[in-house]
Amino acid sequence: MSATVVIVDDAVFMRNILRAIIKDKGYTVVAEAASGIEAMRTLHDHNPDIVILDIILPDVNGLDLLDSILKVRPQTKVVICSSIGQEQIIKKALDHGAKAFIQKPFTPEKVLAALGSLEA
Amino acid sequence: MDMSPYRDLFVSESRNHLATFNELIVQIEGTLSDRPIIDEMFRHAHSLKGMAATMQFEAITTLAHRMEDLLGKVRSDEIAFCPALADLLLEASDLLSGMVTVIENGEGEQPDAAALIGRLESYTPDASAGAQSPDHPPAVEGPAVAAAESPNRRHQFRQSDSFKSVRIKTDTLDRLVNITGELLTTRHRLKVQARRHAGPALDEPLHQLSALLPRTA
Repeated sequence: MSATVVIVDDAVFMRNILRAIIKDKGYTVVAEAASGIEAMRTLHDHNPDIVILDIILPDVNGLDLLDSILKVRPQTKVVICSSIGQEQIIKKALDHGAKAFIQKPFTPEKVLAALGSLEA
Repeated sequence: MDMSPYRDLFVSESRNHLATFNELIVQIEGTLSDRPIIDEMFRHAHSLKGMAATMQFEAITTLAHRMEDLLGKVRSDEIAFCPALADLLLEASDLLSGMVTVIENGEGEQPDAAALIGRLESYTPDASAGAQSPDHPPAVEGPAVAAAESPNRRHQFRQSDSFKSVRIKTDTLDRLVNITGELLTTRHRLKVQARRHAGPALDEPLHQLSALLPRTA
C-alpha cells in the first residue's frame, strides 16, 4: 500500500508541482491544504503518513503548526519545505521533530530523496 | 522537469500575489506600523520568490527576494516602514507585473530589473528620504503632518464621528478598495514618469495626491 501524503502550502502552484512529482512514485496525495487551519482539518480527516509542510503560511507559523501536528498525530512524518537561506528555521524544525526537509527551488530528485529518507 | 505546463498557473497566481501586495501597501500607508500587514506582504513576496525560483525566472526571483529582504528587516525592527519604502516596493511590484506580463505573452524582452534591484539592496531610510525628496518634500514630512496623522488625531476624529454611520453594500466597498488600489498604482506610475520627463512642475499635485490617497484606505 502506498504512503499517504498531505501537502500544505499556500501556493496552488507549489502544491500542483509537488503532487505531480510524487504521484505514481509510491505516494498517494490524499489532500492538500493552503493554511494551518485547513492542515489540521485534513490531518483529522485523512490521518496521512506524511505531511509536506511549507514553513510560511497565511495564518500560522510553520513551526507552531509542526508542533500542533506532532502533538495530535505524533506518528506523522513531517517534511519541512522552505527556501534556501532559511537554514536556521530548518534546523529548528528538525529539532522540533520534522523528519526531513526540502529546499526551494527543488528538483524532483530532491523531493523524492527527502521522502525516500523517511523509509530508512 | 518540464515546467511549461505550470506557466499559466504561475502567471495567474503571481498576479494574485501582486494585486494583494499592492492592496496591502494601500492599507498600511495609513498607519505605517501594522505588523500583521507587514507579515502578509512578506509572505506574498516570499511566495512569489519561491514560485519564480521553481520556474527558473531569475530576475523575478532576485527582485522578489530583495523585496522580501527589506520586509524582513521591517519585521525584525531593523528599519521602519515609511512612505519612501512603500513607493520603492510599489515600484518593484509594478516592475514585477510587467515581467509577469512578458511571460504571459510569451514574447518580448524582459525589462531590466538591475537598477531597481540595486536600489532595493542599497536602501536605507535616510538615503531614500534624500532620493525621494521631490515626492516627499521636507515641509510635508515635517512635524505638522506627523501630528495630523498621529493615532491620537485619528482616534479623536472617530470618536466625534461615532454616531454618523451609514450602511453601504459590501460590493460597493470592495469596488472602492479596488479603485483606491488602482489609484495608488497610477499615482506611482505618474511619479515615475514625472521624474523622467516632466520635471518639478508636477511635484505639488503629485504630492497632494500622495497625501490624499492614504486617507481613502
